[in-house]
Amino acid sequence: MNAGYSVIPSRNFLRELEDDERRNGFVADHLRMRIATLIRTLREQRGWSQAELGRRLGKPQSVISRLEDPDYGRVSLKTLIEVAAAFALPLYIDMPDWNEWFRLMSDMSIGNLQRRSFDVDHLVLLSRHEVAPAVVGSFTVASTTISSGNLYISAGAAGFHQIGSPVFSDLNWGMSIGNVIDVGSQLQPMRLPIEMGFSAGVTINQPIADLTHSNDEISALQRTVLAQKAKIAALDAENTNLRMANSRNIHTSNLSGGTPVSASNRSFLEVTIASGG
Amino acid sequence: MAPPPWRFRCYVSEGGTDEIRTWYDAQSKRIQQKFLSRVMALRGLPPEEWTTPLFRWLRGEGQGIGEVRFKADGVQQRPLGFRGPEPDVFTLLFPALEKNDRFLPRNAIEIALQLRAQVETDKRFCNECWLFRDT
Repeated sequence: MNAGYSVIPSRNFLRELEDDERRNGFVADHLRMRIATLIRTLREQRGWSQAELGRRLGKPQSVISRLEDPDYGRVSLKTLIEVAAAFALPLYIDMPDWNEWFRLMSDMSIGNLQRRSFDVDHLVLLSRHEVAPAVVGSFTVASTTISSGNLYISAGAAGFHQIGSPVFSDLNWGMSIGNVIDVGSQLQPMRLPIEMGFSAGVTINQPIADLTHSNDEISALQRTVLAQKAKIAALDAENTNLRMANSRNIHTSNLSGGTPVSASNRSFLEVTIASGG
Repeated sequence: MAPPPWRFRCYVSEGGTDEIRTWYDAQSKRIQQKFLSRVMALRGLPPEEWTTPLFRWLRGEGQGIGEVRFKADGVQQRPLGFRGPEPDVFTLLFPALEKNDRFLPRNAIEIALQLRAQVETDKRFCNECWLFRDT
């Protein structure tokens, strides 16, 4: 298959849509098709028969069969709300810009339509890893450099925190959370949580002063970083189903400033830096 | 991110006529809009998900022929095609209909197989689908 294509159709396709009647019918049909495919995908994801979904909705199986028919054009908003509720999913309706509509509609594959039902534990987990880096006290490491025995970490955004409690935030961003302290003097053996999935346009070089790492320690740290990068790759693979609601196309750099990581594949890891003092 | 798309091609007769485009241009807007919608949907689906209700591979004598499925103007529309002549291409061959579980015309499968053989023998019997060209 050819790689790299726009989800916006070609000029010829768009010209066909210049006709109001054809365009409106096209949109309506595509929407019906997507709803039908979505309901079927969600039902099958849960291992339910049409009869089972019907039972949960208080409707006969024949109604479910119609809902899953892309040529059936009479699904009401009320029914959609009820179906979404049966799957423990929210319903969202919008009138987006055309480019966004094409993006949303371009992929009706099963993998793209499967959804996770309401799950408190899962949402709490996501909230901890959600973007807002300064708020959660995590930070993105863009690169590490060593100069004059000091370890410099170029953080794209937000701060460090000790286990459980934020201790530093990126003051350049004007954010202050938790107990802001002088990193230089108080950074003792600490764990640096690294949240992949966001980046900032500004890079600061914050020296972590008074850390006297031996070369061996630094090498060990670098090995740890490499190991964690491998973990990130593994987590990325595992997290393909962890589709974040946030679809902003933002990226981060990994520890060596290498390949950007998609926001939808955020992973979480911790690196322990032990002071040589 | 959507998966990479399939490329669609259309059968071109010996006289150089794009038969699918000719058929499309002669249809009602209701048929046209559904056709556009279905090919756009199929374009982004992985091969294993080209299944009913949007699409179906024929069996028996029609092995290797697939039908795009939609209903418009009260008629079951069944544009027939096959996967080829290249691995990432689906070539639309012939716009059949279906009534009472039978194709119209009755020899639709036979026609499709003949056209497929032509295309497989000589790629000049198919063009990149005009809908996915910029010119």
